[in-house]
Amino acid sequence: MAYRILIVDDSPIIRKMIVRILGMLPMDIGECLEAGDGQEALDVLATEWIDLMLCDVNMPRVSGEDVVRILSERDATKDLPVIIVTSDRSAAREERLMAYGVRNYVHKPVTPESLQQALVATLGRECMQGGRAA
Amino acid sequence: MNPRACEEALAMSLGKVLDEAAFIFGEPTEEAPPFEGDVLETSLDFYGDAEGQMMLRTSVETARSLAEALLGVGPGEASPEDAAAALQELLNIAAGVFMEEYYGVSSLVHLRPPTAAVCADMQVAASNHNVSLLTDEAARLDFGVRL
Repeated sequence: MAYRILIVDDSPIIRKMIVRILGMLPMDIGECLEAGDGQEALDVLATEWIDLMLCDVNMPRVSGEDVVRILSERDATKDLPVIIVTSDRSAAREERLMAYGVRNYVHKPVTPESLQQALVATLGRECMQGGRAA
Repeated sequence: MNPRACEEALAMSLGKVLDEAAFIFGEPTEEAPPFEGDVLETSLDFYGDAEGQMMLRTSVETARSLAEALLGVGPGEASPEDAAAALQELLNIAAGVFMEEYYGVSSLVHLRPPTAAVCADMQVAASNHNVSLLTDEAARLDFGVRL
């Protein structure tokens, strides 16, 4: 299965870093789509099929927390696997996000190891059975 | 606030982020050399259980090197925009680590998106607490907090 992944972060350098790290993993990536804030992410999700979303929390316009709350309220998106990728380390916020159905949480700086661990925990070990690094 | 504990938390936070994100080793110093050339300063406000501002500054050239390290590209390949974005993101991440280290994981502090500006002259923004780190290539980075 080739995964279509939506990367949501207001920092272009973080989006580039995540794309680069995903390319290092033994995962079959079909396409990486990018959004610079929560509103852009919702716009992409309205028109594109996405298998997984990697989402920051602190962003202008619509925050990551608002995005996952909105997704959890819609039948079409409530089961979309979401991994939060954030510099925010507050336990209270993590609990709140998990309550919205977020599957996993990665603290920045993102490393290949931390992202792979979260992907396996979210999608299952079989997601790491393809791609260039296999 | 315990000034020494705050400055230790600042040094630990920035050192950890430089190491993990950019594979750069930074050591705190009390005798920081002057910045070379223009200085890029980035800052962000925080609010919630604690309020204030954090700032990270270094030379434009060092910021560009940091961008190249983050992106895994060669010397000269990072743009000025990449340099500013890299310093902003390092501040964002280091601020998150500082909040956890200094205020604890149970505190709820919100970080606003960082902003960046180039200073033609070294205009040190007022900060209650500030540390300077020197990398193994003698590049200086200052990390501070104003409460």
